[in-house]
Amino acid sequence: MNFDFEELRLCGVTRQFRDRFGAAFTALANLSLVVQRGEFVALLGPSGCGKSTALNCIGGLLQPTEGSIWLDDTRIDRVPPERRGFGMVFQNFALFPHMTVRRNVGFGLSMRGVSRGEIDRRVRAALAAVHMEAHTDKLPRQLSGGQQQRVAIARAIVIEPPLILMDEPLSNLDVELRMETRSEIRRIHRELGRSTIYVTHDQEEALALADRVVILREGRVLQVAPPYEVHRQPASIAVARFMGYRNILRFETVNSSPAKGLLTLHSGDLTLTGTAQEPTGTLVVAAIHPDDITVGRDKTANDIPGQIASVEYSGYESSIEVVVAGGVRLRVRTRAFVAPGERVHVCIPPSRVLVFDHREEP
Amino acid sequence: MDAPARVRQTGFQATDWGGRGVLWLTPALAVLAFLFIFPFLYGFIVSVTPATGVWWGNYREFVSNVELWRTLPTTLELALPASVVIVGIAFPLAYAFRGQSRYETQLVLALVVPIAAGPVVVADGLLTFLGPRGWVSLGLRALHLASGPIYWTHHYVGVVIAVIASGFPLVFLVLRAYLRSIDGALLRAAATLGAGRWQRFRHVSWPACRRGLIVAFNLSFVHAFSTFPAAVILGAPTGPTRLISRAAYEAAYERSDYSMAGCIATIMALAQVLVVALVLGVSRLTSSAQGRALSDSPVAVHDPTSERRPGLLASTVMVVGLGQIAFALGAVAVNSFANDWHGSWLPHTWTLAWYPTAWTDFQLAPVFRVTGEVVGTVTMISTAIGVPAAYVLARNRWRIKRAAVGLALLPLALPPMTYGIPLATLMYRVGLTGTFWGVVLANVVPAVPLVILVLIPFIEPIDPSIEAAARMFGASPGQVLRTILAPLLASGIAVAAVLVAVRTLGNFELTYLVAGSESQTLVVAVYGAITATGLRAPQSVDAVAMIYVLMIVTLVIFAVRLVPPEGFAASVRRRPYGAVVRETTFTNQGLK
Repeated sequence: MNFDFEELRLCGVTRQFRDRFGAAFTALANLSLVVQRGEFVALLGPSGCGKSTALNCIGGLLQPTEGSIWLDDTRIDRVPPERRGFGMVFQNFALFPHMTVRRNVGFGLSMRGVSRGEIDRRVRAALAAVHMEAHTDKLPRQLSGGQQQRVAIARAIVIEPPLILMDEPLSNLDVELRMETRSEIRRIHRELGRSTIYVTHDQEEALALADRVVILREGRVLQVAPPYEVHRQPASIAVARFMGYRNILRFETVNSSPAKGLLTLHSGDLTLTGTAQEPTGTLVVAAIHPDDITVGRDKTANDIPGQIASVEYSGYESSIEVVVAGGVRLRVRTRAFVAPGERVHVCIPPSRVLVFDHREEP
Repeated sequence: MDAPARVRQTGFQATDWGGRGVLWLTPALAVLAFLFIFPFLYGFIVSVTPATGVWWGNYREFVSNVELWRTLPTTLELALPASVVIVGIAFPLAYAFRGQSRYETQLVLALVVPIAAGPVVVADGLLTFLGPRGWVSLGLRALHLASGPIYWTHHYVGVVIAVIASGFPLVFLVLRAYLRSIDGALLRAAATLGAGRWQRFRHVSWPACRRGLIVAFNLSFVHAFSTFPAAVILGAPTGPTRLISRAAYEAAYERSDYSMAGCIATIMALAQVLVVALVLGVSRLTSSAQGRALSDSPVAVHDPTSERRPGLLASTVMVVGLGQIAFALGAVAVNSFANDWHGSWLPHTWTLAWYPTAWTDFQLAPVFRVTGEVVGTVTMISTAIGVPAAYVLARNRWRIKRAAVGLALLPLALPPMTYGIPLATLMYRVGLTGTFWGVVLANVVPAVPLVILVLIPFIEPIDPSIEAAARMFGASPGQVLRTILAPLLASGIAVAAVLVAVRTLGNFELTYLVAGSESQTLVVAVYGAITATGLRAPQSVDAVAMIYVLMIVTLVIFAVRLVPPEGFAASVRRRPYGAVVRETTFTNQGLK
């Protein structure tokens, strides 16, 4: 049962479901991925994108319809979950309601036939690791959500699994607890160095925790890259949308200078310079992140006059909408104090106007 | 982004191994197929294969023989008005009592005991209570409303009263469950929008519980239609209250004409299906889509802020109504302790002697042994079959799930007389009639669905990811069963077992139809004692009935203790059929 490994390989893992009318529905299509020992990989995507399906296939709770899963040279996709020896943290905690914290955490060890004294020692150590020593004999319903999730984490790490699977472990917690538990997860990963696959729909969580992020949508992989890259260089307009590029604008290219990769974009009265992300035709879509637009003037960037249409103040920063030439509304985050109706200039560095082929945009 | 919505609608299973699927359903399906569906077909087949003559000979005989044909209108004349009266009384009362009553437990007990005890003892009690020397007669004369003794027993009136008395509790509970399942927030929203009490009833409560009303009427009709023991005990079974169930029974048991019995059973079933279809058709024609949406919508937790206490009038009617049944059972109790009781309010002298007399007169020792064995065996078998089936049905979301649950509900909702006669005929053919196992198998038929329906609401709230977690942490399917499911389901299984025990103990018709003298249970012995009056002292008969009632009451109190009624209501709230489930769990032969 001890599958310590150098790499976990998913080869073309596909999972189809039949709905109640018998129609097939592909929840996960052709996922290929290699996870190195000790790596923290986040599967990121909106709900229904197949990320939980992928996790359940790795854990053994679902069998792939096609493809295979390997731990080094051992094929594991037909091995039942109890024989894979992975740890898992569930979205709704899934603590056994009729067992105390101690028995919950010790469950995996007693299933492995570990001696009573050893279980006791390791459970205590695991509870100490999540700062839950004081609650050993409570039942799950006597704990708060954050405490329950820490017990769930302790239950997963106590068996010292080669791989920990986490299925949206923070989504049932309130904002403050979420931040706290997130740091906790990060600390535990740093200390124990266990390979972790983490499923989330929250891009901030994925960026903060993961070594690599896998972005999924409708069962397909859109991009696999380190956090910085998926955020700064999204591979497609869909990824850009998901990463919070809230300005998605259609343009025609007027002039391109392939040497620099710069394009002149034209839409009505608005003209911008952008950077091509891929070979494009004349119809393109540009993605601009609200954080990449600044209020003020800058000679080196696209400099656009406009009028402020709305301001949402959120402490330190404001989300504003600026109406520029051609009636285009640009969404901007800024620390400048501005008021609706004010005339301003906004500027966008050409390198941050990401240009994609228009066909991607439905 | 339609993907998430789609996933939710279609309800994919989260994991592959969540249900053991068809394998675990097989025993329950086999019970339904061989002991419920097949007997129906068998009954029809024997009805069209008479020993002599053409295949429709039995049906021609039924139509042309006045003795037989007359039972159909007689039965309809009893069942239709009785059902209308039951629903007519129960609906306003259920509306008045829709809130959590201060006397909730007592109310539920008072309603459930007569249902569980069944029509035999209720009819026996009414025999004394309504009889010419009973309390009703005495009371009416004391109030100068009657000049002499009244003769309601062995008469149409007595049977109607018995049918109403034993039908009311179930219909009341079903209607109340529907009314309670209305989201209190809807009523409050209506109130903030200016709807008065009547308008709230008219626009929210009424559309939401219309379907409950239809269900209640149909339930009450099919049971009234197949009334058997009440008509025999309280009516004149050879004369004006000769009902169709009696005719079927006579054909099978007094003339051994199983072909004719199958014919009458088929006609009974057809008549019930016809009336139910008619009612459903009329209701569909007149119902609005909005109303259906309301009663289909998932139901919120019962909301105490929208409750009100029942008014004085409603409380009085309720107390008087339940008082009828209490007095009827009280008359049995009083008589069982009476030395001699003739035409006075209470006996002049009391005695305990009837109990030992009854014990020896009716040879109760073997009856108790058989009853215990039957109840124990039925409980074990139906739990063993029902628990896995309930698990599969609760965990899977198939297209056929609703249909499967509906099919499982059928043996509970259908009166045993309807399928009992074909079943008994079939058992006669294979030589099971009169044997212990015949009685056990007959009782398993309604018991398995009961276990399934009780347990589904216990299983559904258990998050499947708990089982997934156990598997992830190294538990094999067997270990999941032992360490996770068994402890979490223990209370549900206990409730199901107790309810099966109550139901089997009180299941008169099925046991009566298949039992022999060596395999009869207590309730059949009670019926035998009652219908054989003249041979034994009535006090001795009532002593047997009292012993039976005490056993039922003990078990019912135990069941209600095990699951407080309000807890039960909460655990089934999410399913549209939950409203009915909660009530059917307590009910057995229902309305007679």
